[in-house]
Amino acid sequence: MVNPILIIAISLFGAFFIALISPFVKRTGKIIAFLTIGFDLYIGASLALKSLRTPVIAYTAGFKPPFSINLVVEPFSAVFLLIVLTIGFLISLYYLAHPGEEPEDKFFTLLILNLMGASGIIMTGDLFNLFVFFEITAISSYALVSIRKQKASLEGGIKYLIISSIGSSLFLVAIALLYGQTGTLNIADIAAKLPFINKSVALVAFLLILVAFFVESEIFPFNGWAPDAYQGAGEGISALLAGVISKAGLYALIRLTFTLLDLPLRSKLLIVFGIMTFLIAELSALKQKRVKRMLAYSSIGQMGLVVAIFGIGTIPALKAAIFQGVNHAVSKVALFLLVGMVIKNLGIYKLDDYKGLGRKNPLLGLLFSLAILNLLGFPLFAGFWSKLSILLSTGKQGLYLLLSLILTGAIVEVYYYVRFMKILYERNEEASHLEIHLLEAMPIIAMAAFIIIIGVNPGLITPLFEKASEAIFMKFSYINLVIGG
Amino acid sequence: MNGGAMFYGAAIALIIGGIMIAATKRNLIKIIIGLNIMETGVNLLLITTGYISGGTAPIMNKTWTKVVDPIPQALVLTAIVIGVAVTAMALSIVVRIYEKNNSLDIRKIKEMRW
Amino acid sequence: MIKKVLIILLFVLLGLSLYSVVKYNTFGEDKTVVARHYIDYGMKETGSQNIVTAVVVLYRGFDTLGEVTVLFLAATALGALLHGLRFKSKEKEPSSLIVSTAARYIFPLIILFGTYVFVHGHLTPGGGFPGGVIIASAFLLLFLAYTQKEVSEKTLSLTEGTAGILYVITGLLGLVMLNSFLANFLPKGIPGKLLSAGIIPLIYILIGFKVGAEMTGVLRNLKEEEK
Repeated sequence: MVNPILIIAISLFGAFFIALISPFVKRTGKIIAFLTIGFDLYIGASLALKSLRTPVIAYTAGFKPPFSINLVVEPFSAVFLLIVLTIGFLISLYYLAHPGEEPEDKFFTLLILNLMGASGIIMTGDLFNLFVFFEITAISSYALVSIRKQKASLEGGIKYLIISSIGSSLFLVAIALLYGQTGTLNIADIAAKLPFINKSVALVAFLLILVAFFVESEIFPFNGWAPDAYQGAGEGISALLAGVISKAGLYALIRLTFTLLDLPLRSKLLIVFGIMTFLIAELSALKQKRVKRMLAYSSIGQMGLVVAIFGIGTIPALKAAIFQGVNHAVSKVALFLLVGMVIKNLGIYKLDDYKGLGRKNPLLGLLFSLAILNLLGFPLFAGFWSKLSILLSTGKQGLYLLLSLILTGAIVEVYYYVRFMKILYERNEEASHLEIHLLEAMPIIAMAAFIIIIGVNPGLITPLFEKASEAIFMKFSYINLVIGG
Repeated sequence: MNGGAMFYGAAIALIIGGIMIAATKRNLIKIIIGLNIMETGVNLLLITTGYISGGTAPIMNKTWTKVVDPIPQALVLTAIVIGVAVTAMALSIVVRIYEKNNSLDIRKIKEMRW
Repeated sequence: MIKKVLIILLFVLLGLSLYSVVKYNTFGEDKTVVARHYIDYGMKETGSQNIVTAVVVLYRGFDTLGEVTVLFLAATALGALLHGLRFKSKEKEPSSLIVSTAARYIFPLIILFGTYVFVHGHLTPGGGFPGGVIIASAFLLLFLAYTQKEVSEKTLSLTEGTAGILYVITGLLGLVMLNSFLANFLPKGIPGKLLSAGIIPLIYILIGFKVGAEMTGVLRNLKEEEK
């Protein structure tokens, strides 16, 4: 029997176990983390498969909701759970051959708990429990960002902490407002009672929730922390920010705004803020001289694009947004991990230092180009299909202004990424040779394989997105599932 | 208007004051104090939401007649612990920043622009 | 510039929320179905005389597990961030005779009080978190009175790790026996007695140990870096 609780229980078990044995046997964290996260992924995948037929609900403490906390896995959360756990697993695989940050045992404890928090955000059906998991993810992220203890990482960490604390306090204010009106904390129960509560309170709560989760999903103007955090963190952690933490924030944003507060204003706000983020971040990325910061801005831009497409709110648009989210996670994680390998070997950070690296190291160059071309939506890569469906779903709604803005941003994106690729393949006799550990390259090769397979046959994965977007589109089925069942 | 205006007002005032401090002060320790004041405000708001006139603590011995809502109390317990954790986390980062820069002033810390 | 605009917007938003709570939230009235249920049936369903404890440990016990994790996380992160930090050493003055003598007698009393608080969590206000913090404060007194006093890291992580793992196992036992995580699988007993409320005292004792060990660890780490 698979139970969503197992993901939480096993992660906690792993984390406490590391704490228990680390004073006696050093340097076991790496392997325990790998095994724990692998087991999480196994449970997550079987849950996701099961949820496509019938959604899985688990109660805690032996009482039915709304009297106790419940965990729900239906297709929409299943897709996000799969993204988060797969990326987490690949990152822990990468760290098997790559040195972790010091002190290592504590670092891997934080990594496990971070993934646990992200999967908790995705599975929970209770508003306050969401806050608790949100804080678990956030606190472990502050620590993971600043654990390198360099100036930049500490700065990134403290900025992230200050902004995110304000965001989470606003979320608590929203919880207090909603609880005061509905007298319950279960998300589905609140959604069911929403038509009967005061409209203006609902609106204020909606805005507070929007601000709180814009912080976490890196939406302008609440993303001041993001470039510094990405730049200061270790490369594996930058990958974690792009592939796990921001995706969990995105999930919470979409789940709450679609299920809880289905207001007409939603679509406008998401589109406006999303597209603004996309354009500003892409233009900022253009100016960057450091590779990691450039990738950071591109990451923020992509999150903006995904949020804007979610904002359109039709089923094809939702499908496109989920697809783009997956593609972005895969590409960006691969890029950050590759940059991590380059930094570990050569210690270079600037764009110009990459001159000729791709020509000298064919495997590195190939993996870099695959990830970039996927992000740009080059035909016959997975990214092509998601970009295409974005354009089609936007055009179909007659949102031509949005369409042209997306195209503008995309052109900027193509420009700086192609410039980066040109630098990679420039003729340079002095380019250094890189020792690539196969185990280290393994997760990236896996992602490259995913990009190509999906690129050739997108039908392998689109039915999953179809189900997920139907699940989030029909909020009443979610309410019935939890309250009626 | 109702009897809760004073409590709600105090809670929101604390939140606004805390954010104000966090946003305008230059000293990192003061910023963290601001965040703590903000958390106190949020906790007060939660508790106020659960207040029932004339209620006592929800402990069920023989003498009780009317008790307050137990849920916000449980939530605030959690929120306080989380607040402590965030503060400890922030202070440990600040200790490290002080070690690197010999200053707690955010203007003196290079690259630290908002 | 952006920051200023943002903060003003934030204040407008908070002002709006103040307006809407004051205007539309009924104050001091009994209104919620869920809370009504806890108050009316809580004691019967859980065997705990203290309803807040019943909510914290059972009904919303999953939150509490998360809360314990947050504290564990903070302690771990603090240890990780302060790892290897050395400031210039300052000569430490030993504390006065009054403090060190008093600490010797008060220390066991504080520990006893902390234990009392977390053992009686289901009967009186208090519980694992306050109890654990009281115990940590006893250690703070010890650190202040005897500057050379050390608590070994091994003892702390053993306590912390064991208590955490036992907590998870208690939850899983509920899953195995009653098909629900953290369900109360022990007899409820007579409310008001020390041995009642099933797993609630058990969990609070574990939390007490865990919080005590973690907070002591935090203090120890902050003390360490003064060297």
